[in-house]
Amino acid sequence: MSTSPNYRTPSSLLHARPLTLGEILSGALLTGFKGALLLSVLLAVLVGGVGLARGDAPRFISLASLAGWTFLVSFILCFLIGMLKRSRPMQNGAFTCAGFLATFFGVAMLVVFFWGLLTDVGRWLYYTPILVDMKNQENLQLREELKKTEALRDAKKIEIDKEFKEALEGAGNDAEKKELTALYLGSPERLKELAAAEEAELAKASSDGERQKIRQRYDIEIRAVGGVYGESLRVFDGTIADRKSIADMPLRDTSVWGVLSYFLFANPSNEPESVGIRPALLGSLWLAVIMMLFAVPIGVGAALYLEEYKTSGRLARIIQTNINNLAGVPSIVYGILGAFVFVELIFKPMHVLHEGISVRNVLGGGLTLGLLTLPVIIVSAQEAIRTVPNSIRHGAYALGATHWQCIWHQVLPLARPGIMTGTILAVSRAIGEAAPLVLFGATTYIAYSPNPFSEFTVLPIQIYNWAERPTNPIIDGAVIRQWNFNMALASLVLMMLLLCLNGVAIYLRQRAQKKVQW
Amino acid sequence: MATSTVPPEVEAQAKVLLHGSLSAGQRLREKIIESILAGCGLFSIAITIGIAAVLIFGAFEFFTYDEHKDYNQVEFKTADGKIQSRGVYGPMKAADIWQRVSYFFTGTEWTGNIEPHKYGILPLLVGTVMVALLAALLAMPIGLTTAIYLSEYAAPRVRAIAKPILELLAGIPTVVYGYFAVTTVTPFLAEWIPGVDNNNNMLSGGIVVGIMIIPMVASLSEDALRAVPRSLREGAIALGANKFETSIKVVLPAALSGVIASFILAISRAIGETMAVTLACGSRPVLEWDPRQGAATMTSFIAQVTQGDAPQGTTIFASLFAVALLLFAMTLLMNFAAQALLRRYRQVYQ
Repeated sequence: MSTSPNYRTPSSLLHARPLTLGEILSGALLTGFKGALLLSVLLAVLVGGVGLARGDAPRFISLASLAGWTFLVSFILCFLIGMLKRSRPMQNGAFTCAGFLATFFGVAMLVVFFWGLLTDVGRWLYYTPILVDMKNQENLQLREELKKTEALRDAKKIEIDKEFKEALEGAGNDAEKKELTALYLGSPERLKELAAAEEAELAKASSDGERQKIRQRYDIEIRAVGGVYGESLRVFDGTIADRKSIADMPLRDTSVWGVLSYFLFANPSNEPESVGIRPALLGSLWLAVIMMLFAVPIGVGAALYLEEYKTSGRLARIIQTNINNLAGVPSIVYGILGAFVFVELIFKPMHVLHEGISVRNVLGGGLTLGLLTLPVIIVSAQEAIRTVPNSIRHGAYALGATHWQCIWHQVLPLARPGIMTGTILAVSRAIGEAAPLVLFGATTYIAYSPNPFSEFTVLPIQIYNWAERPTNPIIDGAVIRQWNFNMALASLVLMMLLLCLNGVAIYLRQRAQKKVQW
Repeated sequence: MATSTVPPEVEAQAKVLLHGSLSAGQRLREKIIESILAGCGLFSIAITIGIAAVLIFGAFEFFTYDEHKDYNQVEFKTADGKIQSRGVYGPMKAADIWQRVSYFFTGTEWTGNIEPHKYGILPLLVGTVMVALLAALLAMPIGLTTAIYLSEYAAPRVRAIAKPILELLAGIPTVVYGYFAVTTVTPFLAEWIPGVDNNNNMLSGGIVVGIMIIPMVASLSEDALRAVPRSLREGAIALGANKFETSIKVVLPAALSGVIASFILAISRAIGETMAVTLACGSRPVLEWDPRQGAATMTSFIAQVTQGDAPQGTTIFASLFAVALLLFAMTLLMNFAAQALLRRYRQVYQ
């Protein structure tokens, strides 16, 4: 030990005689009594003084009870402190207990959290089938009504048919018959045209309100040209069309597996019982893949440069310090960088050139996460490369390998498990990250499978979005926190994903440790 | 390269000889590969420069541009012929610039979208500091005790169980911590502590962030404690100290710089934490010292501005760069301090 740090010599220990139990107890009692008396009197005087200063008459009873309680609590505390001060084995034991409790405080918190999470998931599993069933019942009712409306329409049609037939029979000549036909049927060609135009506009419309407006506009025209048929049947047609789109939706499976698979494989929705996370899940996976393809080559390259080429010197030191600092930069700041570089500088101009490339796309999000995880990957790759013993390098050089050949054929294969472990840890960090992507602008509602150039959302952002929904469904007057349950289930899915990734990392690490022994 | 038995100067000599024996093509290839790898290394510096440039330019714009000033109003005719005025985003006059800069650092009100527009950082800063402080109060004692227990006391089997669990705690996504804060911690606090806001409060944000950074404090401090040479412990025990005295009076002071570095890094992480804090503390930018109430932090303000409908080219949007620059500067300073401390304790024991 050439340079020793400044630590205090435990001189107080040198001549200490261990106290007997009686001495410890009596001393601790005295300390407890003194401390408790001091504290309680001090507090009583303080409270009384403040009361006097405010102008209240001090009430002796309440002051006495305050002092009494303070005395009791501080006596226990001071007694314990006094015991610990006098007995070294007790100090040691107390600290062992404290250390154990502190270490397993984390476990306790995990248990509390997961208990809350799992109960919410359980409630999700209980309530979602009920809510879906309610929805299904509504749907069935709608179908029933639709059928009734259709029956009414048919009856009306038969009635008019009959009337028309009788009128035709009653008509005297051809001209009269033609007039009657025009009166009842209107002009079929114009009607067809109008119907086609309406259809086209309805298909373009985005909301129900818009559709209703379009239909109302066409109502007048169709009634005008549709003759008696058009005038009488149009009301029914409109109602049927309105209800058909909803009633045609398939009834959902209300079994547990049915609702679970719907949750995993359906698109998001504004109704808490029919949300799905497929686009978010796919978005997360896309982002992880792109992030890996971007950050791993650069990260490993930088690690090789720092470990194999520039192991010392000013530049290496600057890069190393810089990487350590980058690892501590808040993730939200990377979001600002990503939003500026990828959105403003790269994809906005590209969006102008090509419609198919959206401004805030998967590629940009993945690259942003790549910037964020680069320091993690570099540091872990450096550690992996550092564990490769120099004798391997010297052996390679001795056989005539060039520097790069040595790295490529010897160092990298041996460092690969470590690099892969680091990469997986970086990926699991990236999958859980939401803040930079909120800044990047990934909060849009996505109802399709994303591709690298489309807009996207990811699982954490989906969870975050659900946190702020005020409209919860009500069953029998009780509010069901269905959005919270959705959050719980999505969190569980996210953590399962992370757990799988971490499991792979641990497996790789252990296999590497078994296989390679230096 | 610590395990090398070949002296470094011999190795360098050998490399030069080896290099001399290569053909011109091979030498070129080696050169190209080295410069590619150097590019990878320099890329990390480019990221830092990019972050700094974006933030500084954005903050500069915030301090010099405004659409609410009198001289930036233009008049225009509405459809029914009335004349109205509208703010145009444009440069400010020098006096206003100075006022904005000084108010930013000393002002106690942040009224983003409401008239009159005031941009004083203190409410956001106080929110951030409160959350970080609460987190530190929770994480530092527990994390340090855990570290001492794991490095000095725990049997290998306990360590083998406790460390992965701590890592698990560190691996939970922050948005899930936010969910915990909203659904578990806040209701609990509202039940037991009078006056706690049941929707958003800084106390629950501080608690979940504290739990989040416990593993960081514990593992970094443990590394520092384990780096203390065995001889110091043996010396203390030879003098008659027990385990507690050895740990607290000998090992801990010897590893103090590493332990403090772990505290600083953990607090800097707490300052930069976004999603959990946004969910737990809300985004009301008010100067609030009471941890039972909710208040926006710097990070939650940034997240909220970009989520809302503040368009680019407005002062409120530009303000996020100034806030982010301050955040970046704070965490950078803390990181530098922590790195310096870590370097010191590494030098002592090598």
